[in-house]
Amino acid sequence: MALFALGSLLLPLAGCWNQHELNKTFIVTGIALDQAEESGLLEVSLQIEKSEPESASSGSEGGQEKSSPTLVLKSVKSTMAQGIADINLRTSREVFIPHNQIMLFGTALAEEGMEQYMDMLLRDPESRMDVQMAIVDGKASDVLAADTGQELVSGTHLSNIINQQSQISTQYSTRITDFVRKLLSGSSSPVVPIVKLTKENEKESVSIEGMAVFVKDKLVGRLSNDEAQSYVWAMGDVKGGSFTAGSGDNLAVFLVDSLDCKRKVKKNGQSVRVEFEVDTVLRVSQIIGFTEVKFPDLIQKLTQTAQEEIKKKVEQTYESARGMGADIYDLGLSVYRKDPGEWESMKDQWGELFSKSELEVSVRAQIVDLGKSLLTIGMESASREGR
Amino acid sequence: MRVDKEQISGVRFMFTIVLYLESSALLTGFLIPVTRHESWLTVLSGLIVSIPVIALFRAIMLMFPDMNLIQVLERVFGPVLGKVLGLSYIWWFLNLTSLNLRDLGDLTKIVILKDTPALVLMVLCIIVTSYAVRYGIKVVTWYSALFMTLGFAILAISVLLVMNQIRFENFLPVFSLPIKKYLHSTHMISTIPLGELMVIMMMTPNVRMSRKDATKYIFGGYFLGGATLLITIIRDIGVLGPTMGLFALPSLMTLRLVRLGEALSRMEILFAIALISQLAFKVMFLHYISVITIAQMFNVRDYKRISLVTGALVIAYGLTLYDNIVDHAVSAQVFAPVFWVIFEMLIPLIVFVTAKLRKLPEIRGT
Amino acid sequence: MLFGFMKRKLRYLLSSSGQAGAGDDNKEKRAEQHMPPELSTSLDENVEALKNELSDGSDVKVHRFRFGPDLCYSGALVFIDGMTDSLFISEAILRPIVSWRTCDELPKARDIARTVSSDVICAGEVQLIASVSDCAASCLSGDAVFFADGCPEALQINAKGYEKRSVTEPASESVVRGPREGFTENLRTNTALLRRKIRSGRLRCESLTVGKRTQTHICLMYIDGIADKKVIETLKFRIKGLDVDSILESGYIEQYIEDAPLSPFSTVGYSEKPDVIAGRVLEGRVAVIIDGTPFVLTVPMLFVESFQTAEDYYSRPMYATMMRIVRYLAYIIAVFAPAIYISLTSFHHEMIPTTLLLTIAKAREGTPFPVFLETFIMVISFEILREGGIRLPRPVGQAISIVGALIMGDAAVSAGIVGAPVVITIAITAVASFLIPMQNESDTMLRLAMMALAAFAGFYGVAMGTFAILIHLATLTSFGAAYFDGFAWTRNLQDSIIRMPLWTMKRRPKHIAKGDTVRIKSFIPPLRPHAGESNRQAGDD
Repeated sequence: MALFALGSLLLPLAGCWNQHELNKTFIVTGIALDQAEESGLLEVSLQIEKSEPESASSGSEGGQEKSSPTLVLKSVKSTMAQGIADINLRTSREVFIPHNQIMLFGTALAEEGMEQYMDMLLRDPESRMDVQMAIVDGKASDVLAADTGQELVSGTHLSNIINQQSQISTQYSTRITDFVRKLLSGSSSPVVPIVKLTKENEKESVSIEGMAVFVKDKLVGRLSNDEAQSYVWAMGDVKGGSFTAGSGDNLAVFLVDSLDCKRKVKKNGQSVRVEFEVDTVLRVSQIIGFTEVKFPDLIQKLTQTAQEEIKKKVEQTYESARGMGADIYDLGLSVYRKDPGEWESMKDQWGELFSKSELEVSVRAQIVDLGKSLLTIGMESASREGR
Repeated sequence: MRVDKEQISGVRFMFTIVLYLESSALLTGFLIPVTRHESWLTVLSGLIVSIPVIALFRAIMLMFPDMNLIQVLERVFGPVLGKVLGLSYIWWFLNLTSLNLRDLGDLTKIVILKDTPALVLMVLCIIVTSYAVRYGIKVVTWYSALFMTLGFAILAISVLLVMNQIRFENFLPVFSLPIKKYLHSTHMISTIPLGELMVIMMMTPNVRMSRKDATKYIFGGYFLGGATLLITIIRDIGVLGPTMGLFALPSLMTLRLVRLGEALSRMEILFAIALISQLAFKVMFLHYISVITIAQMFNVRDYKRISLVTGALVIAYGLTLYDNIVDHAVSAQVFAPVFWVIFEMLIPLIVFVTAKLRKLPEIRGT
Repeated sequence: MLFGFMKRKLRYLLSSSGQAGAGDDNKEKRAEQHMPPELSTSLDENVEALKNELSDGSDVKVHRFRFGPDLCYSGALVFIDGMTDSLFISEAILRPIVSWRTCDELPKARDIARTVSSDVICAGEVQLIASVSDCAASCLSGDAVFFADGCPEALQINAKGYEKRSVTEPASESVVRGPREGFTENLRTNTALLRRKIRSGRLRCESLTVGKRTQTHICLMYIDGIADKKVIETLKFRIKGLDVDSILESGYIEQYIEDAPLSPFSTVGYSEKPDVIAGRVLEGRVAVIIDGTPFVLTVPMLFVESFQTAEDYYSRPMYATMMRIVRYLAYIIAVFAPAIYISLTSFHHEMIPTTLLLTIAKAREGTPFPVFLETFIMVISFEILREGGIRLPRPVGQAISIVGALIMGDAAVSAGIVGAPVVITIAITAVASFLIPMQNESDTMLRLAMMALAAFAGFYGVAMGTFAILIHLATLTSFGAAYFDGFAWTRNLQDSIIRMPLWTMKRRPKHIAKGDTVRIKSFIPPLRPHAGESNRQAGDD
């Protein structure tokens, strides 16, 4: 009885260490890291979602100009942890990271090396590993400050775009954990989406423009949107996307229903031979031309066109990756997994081996669906005029 | 003199064993750095290697069905040596309880409440466990069936939810590490989560089961609990892959990656609470065992009175055990496997052999 | 602490009166010490003694008359006006006595009472009594007492005719499907209602009287052969051991005999409906019917009973199971919802989806109080409203709903004192708590405790608190049966969270019924063809 009374007295008296009131926190929805003007220092920007008191806005009339719902706080320090601590000092509220939607890094920073920034993200108990990351062409903090007009918060906007793309293939998005996993493997090169900010008549928009390729943790090159698509194809397990195939007057637009790719690495004496086997199911979305083709041969012709196109694209991207010396296809990792002994012997020269490797691509496409109509208008009229 | 006069059924005993082993799932963090992505192999081998050890416990339990461990020690080794060994077991059980309590406090601190002093978290837990211990074995194990099922459900749900993130390649390559590492890891597993099961020898007089049932219940519980450990490790390896070695609590990292649509994406605290409750159950059980051991050794008439005091002792000891989590991990990898073997395997083995040599349970017959 | 105080008081009282016997014995012995126990043969002395015993109230009526052949006997009838049926007295008692003119052989004066009772009176319930205290007790119960000059015995004639409430639908428990009878304040009516449900000769009815000044009649009803003898013994021991001033309601008895007075959970069940009580008695429980209240107690009580309503058994299993699960959920919400809200918004912001978090943050922008205080204020306001709603006279009832809705809900939020999410949470909690009226006391107290723990240590505090509650439930016993047994999950699952079809509940619950445990010996299971047909499908020929 006495114990109970004592205990119940103690409870309200003791401070509640971990309690933070909602109206005393700043909810961070985006973090950006840039190189500061002074060399060696880092500019940390945090995008905060502002919340206005409900009672004030419930009686307001329309027609009032709403101020931007986000706030960008910046600080220039030598490390990320210090930057965030500094921001905390200068604001009236505590900064709350777990709801962060996206991590942005400036290209200048990425070229120097990313490993040091990963550490805080992995160590701090509040930050989460499944946050999307992206590289920004230019200054990352500008993207945070952008007022896109589409979503309230540009951090959410960006992560939504990336999430939508990852419906097609998970390779389109890179979370911190994916990035770190590739770094740890020792041979693989991480690939991160690039975000670009464009301004047209006072309307700002952010979009994904290609992907950035890293070797170890330094940015070495880029893939354009097309090349990014073929990279994603080579990684397999694709559930969507579309591409145009054909040349000259005969063009066809295909929708990818599913696409898988098996990657094999074979050692050929001193060199390495890489084989990609692409297996895909396609649907046709638009046909232009192909008037000379007779109907029974249509599917075959289209399949051929598609296969050639896919092969060409994959080879192209492989070429670019090879040129950058970046093993973005996890080839080294697959060697390690199959035969760790052999990997040991190849490990140190992997970079060279990869740049000299030969690629063989074989594509097998299957068109299952032509849509509502079977013939093009041209084909229909041609067949009417007489075969 | 029997300290706790109540008895529980054999089925409930089995559920308690399963729950006890389930609770160790969170402590896999110290295992991983040794064998990394092949830890599932070592868990499997640890389970197999420990079977004779568990059989040893069962044999001792069946040889002296009415005596708990302390009484057995006195009977087999005589009053003097028996009491000395009994004292050392008191020390060891208190050690176990404090270690687990410390783990509980650290875990909660890291994941859920970062600024609260560990003392407060541990006091909250010990108050509740002391309350339960006062009422004896029946209350302490009352909910074992329920919590065990909840544990299974949580495990199943978490596996289902991260299924799309499990990558088979994370398990390859297999058998690529030197044998020494496998041996080390297997040894660690058989001493730390599995060998702790020796505390069931303190419960012998309180469980109502026949000879045949004993095998069924003890081994059934052992394999079920071991299976949950195995599934947890496999899930973690599959999801985290090479990043596993970075983290202090890999299970929690896996749970952090659980996503059920945008809305339910940060549910790890719910899972964490469930796992912490399981750990709290383990602490409660160990607290009970410590109290019973002390009561038995010092012939305390009413063990209820020492429940809270033992709890306070455990908290104090727990706070001073290690300075930080690195020391704890190092100790678990290096020191514990060697030292604990004495209490978990060596002494019971000697007890068994001596008893057989002295043809001890002569009154009952074998 | 309180219970110890009560225990000491009881012990003192019992030791001072010399024994722990039945209340009746006490009364008689005291009557022996203070009053002459026996009736004298003088009519006047008896009547005077009785009037003294009844403190000469103005409603005590004495009717003296002469009767018998040649009016050779004189007698008196004493009764309390208002408690007796005057028509009955005049028609069934006085008329036959007064018109008794002839008789074969004149009985002696000493035997008048017996003669009158066997040969003359038309009444059905007549008893011979021989002491003044018995006469007083019967008068006070509403009987009429007949004295005759020269006879040392008196007749107690049942002439009860006081105003009583008719059998109506009980106010506290209403059902959609099922009987609408409820117990009333009269002991006899209640026992009759129960007997009409259980027409078994094995249904025993044992009477006790408790309460020094209230002399409340209590009736223990149970089925011989099913109920546990130990429970009956304990119950009788505890009730007989009560030497208290008054027993006005079943709640008094409940508080004196319960196993765990300090626990928020009550271990004695009650109900106002005869079919509910009958169901429980058939499972092996003992019903305690107390004169003066329609609430009948049943022991032993299990936790799961508070989630069972009579309708569960009259509805079909799937729906009943669903409703039962909803009730459990409601209890959990009623206890934990405010605590979870406090934990989520104060400690674990990461768990809330981002958009919801921003909404809640907006709502909390203008409010001055920390979350715990806000929630606490709202909970207290709700309790005030609820209590007010009960005590309010009906015409003013409308005002409560307006006050509640407008002031609590809208104005408080607009003024910025509390935030909208808090109001929503408390509203859900309130509605949920209405689903399980039997556990109202426990969920109100536990809710506050959980809120305090949540404000202290977030989800960890709530988890530890839940642990403590579960352990407490595990330690409760109700008259020998484990209170929370349904959730140890090793037996008797069929009626806890789910309600299995009636035809599977073949045996009575093990820990309550000792004795005949078979409920259903045989039945035609559903889905089997009818007798005489063989596997004919619907739609054939």
